[in-house]
Amino acid sequence: MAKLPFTNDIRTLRFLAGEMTQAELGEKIGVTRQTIAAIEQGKYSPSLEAAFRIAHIFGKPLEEVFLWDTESGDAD
Amino acid sequence: MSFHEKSRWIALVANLLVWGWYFLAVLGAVRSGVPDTPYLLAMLIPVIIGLIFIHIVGHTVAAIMKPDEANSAMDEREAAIRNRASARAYELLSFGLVIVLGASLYYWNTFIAVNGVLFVFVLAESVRYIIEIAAYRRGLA
Repeated sequence: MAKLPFTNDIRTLRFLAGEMTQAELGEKIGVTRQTIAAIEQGKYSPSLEAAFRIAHIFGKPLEEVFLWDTESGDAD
Repeated sequence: MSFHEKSRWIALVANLLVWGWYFLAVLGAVRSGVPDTPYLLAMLIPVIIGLIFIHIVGHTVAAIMKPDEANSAMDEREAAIRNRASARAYELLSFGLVIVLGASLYYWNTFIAVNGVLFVFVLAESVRYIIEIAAYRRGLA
């Protein structure tokens, strides 16, 4: 399985948002708990819409939720 | 494990058990002389009943275990998994059908050709389920 060129802080943000569960976050953006778990573990690259929805739930800009990994990513 | 992943396991087990039994029986029949069309049709009846039975029982149990997910639509990850697996299975299906058509033109009679087509369909479907299950387990990065 290829490694995604970005990481995310969703787990931390869920904790800071009153220990929101994966199921609760999934329900808010219209995906399953398993999909949230896969995103957190870097096993699934969410669509741009889902990424924006997640960022919106936490009231953060996209780049504070999803962080480009300069070591594995190619972009300058 | 999500309801949709369980559904794929159920479909895979049903395919392997029922079609496995069917193709073993057909193979035995071919070895003892090529059977005719009524034999083929008679064999397909228990296959259809078996597939329906396993799907109904399996999905009923899965729905009881996760009632909130049973009627839910696929989310974007599940749809992406399905699309990737379907693309691979289609390639296998196309390749297999070309092989069967070629063999049928020169070597096979109608009974074996029909079963060859059936086998390619079942193989492609089973591979699709295996790819989907692997993607559910390992991820889709």
